[in-house]
Amino acid sequence: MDETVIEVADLRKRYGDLTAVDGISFEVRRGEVFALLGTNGAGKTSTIEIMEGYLKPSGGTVKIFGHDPADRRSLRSRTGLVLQESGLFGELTAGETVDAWRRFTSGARPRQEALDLVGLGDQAGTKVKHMSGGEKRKLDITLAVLGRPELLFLDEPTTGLDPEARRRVRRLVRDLTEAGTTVLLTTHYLEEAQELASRVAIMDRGRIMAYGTMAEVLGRGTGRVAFEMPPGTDLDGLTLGAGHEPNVTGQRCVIVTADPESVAHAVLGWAHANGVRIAGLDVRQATLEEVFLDIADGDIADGVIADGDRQEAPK
Amino acid sequence: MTAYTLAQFRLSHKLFWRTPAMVAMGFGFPLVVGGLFPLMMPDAAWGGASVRAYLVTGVLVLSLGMLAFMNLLEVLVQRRQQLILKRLRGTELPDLAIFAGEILCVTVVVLVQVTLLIALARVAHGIALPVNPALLIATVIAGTAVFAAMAVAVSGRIPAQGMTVFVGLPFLLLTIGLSGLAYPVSQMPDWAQVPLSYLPFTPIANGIRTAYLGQDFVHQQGSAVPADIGVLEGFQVMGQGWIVLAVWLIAALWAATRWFKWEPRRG
Repeated sequence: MDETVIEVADLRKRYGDLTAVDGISFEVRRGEVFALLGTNGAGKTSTIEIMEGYLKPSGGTVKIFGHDPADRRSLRSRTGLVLQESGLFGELTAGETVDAWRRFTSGARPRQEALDLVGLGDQAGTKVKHMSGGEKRKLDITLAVLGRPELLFLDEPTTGLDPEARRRVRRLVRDLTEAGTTVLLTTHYLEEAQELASRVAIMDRGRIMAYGTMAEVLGRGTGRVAFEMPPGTDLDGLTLGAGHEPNVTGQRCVIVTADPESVAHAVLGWAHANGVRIAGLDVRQATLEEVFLDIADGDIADGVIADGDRQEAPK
Repeated sequence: MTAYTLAQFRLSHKLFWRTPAMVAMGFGFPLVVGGLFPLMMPDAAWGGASVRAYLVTGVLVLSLGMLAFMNLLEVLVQRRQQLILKRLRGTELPDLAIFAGEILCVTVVVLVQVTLLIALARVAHGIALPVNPALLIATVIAGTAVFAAMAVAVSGRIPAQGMTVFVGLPFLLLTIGLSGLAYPVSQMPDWAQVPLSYLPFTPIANGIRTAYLGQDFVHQQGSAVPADIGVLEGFQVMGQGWIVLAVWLIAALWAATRWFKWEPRRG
């Protein structure tokens, strides 16, 4: 089950003087949803386009199922691509588009099944030029999953979709991964990545700043434990690990921590031992969005998180 | 490969007939010219043949230019700029099948149009059917190949949709000028005729006219009536013409490998 599907090692991409990708390494394993995140200009698109075989790397290696991505002949029947942006034929209907694609897709799903997957079932007769942006996006996804690919690249698949359509896409991605499909996902909706992805890499200015399982990456961010205590209580006897400074405002105490569960244990133990009745206990992990913003901002200030993480990336 | 080429052909072919601008310009225009133009001319001798026969053979050259070069050029630039080529390359279609499918589509439309033009000439203008169909088909196929390869190459040098006109218009003028639609090429002065004979238009026009009318238009001088020639002789008199076309084809293919772009230029 731990088979590596994508292997990226010390990948670099330069455009003239501009370094878009600056020596990144990661791997994607069979059956997982891997989220590649980053702000605009972080180097995600270059990285994906190299993996998809559209761009040549300036340095380093990428292997997809053990093949060079440029070896499109060996790979295309096993991969499905939803590009960030790509064209469709406005003069064809959705159904005709699927029919045309079925002719060059091995083991293609039947037309109706393919359209039903994304909820375009009753749009088969609609010309593409009369479809909304969201409907076209659904058709993009239909075409990408037409051949039941082993590996699916989803480059911002839900951009422009309404919440209902996004939910449907998330459900489709979950169904596909349950059936064994590996998914490489980029998205600007971080809650979507947090919900779907089992592992994640966050890029900033061409480098990977955080990489690991979702739990590891979230654990690196700042969760918090908050509670209210009776008036006049002091925190004597509450021992927390180093760097955990309780912040008391009136009756409310907030502790910022990378490990909210342990801190909550300590707080409950302390309250019990000292007979303090605390109220409104709130224990919460960092969200991916908070980690993401920390990286985008924190790196400008010092880059400490960055160095720690980069060393964890596989060589 | 064949299955992929056919898949791309079917897609491209359906799109051609669905796109009114392409049908009107690439398909309709030569038919209108071929139908009306000869009727407007007095029924006299011109360039060694009847005016109408001379013009109809010129329209065949125009048809090749409009479809195999101008239409294909437009299609390729459009599909590149709209990121359709990029999407197609994300499928199992091999690159060569994408080209082959598009060119096969153009060839089929050319053959349909040539057939219609011949029928139109017979019915509307009373012009006899082509004397040397084998040479006609060979020239049409060779001309289509050269023009299509030129379109593939040139498309890579056109940065945006709507800019094909800068190449298309001079090309169209050369096609009209050198197909004999405007003036019999054999009556142009030598200083113009000799260099122009090295462009692909002249051998294509000569081949089509020689095949259609069964006379040697390759070696025609001035307004003299060319000699009648047989089927094989027709292929032989084209000798230098075949070489010119082959050189253009090779040069265009070479340029295509260097210039052709699958995606819009970045930034």
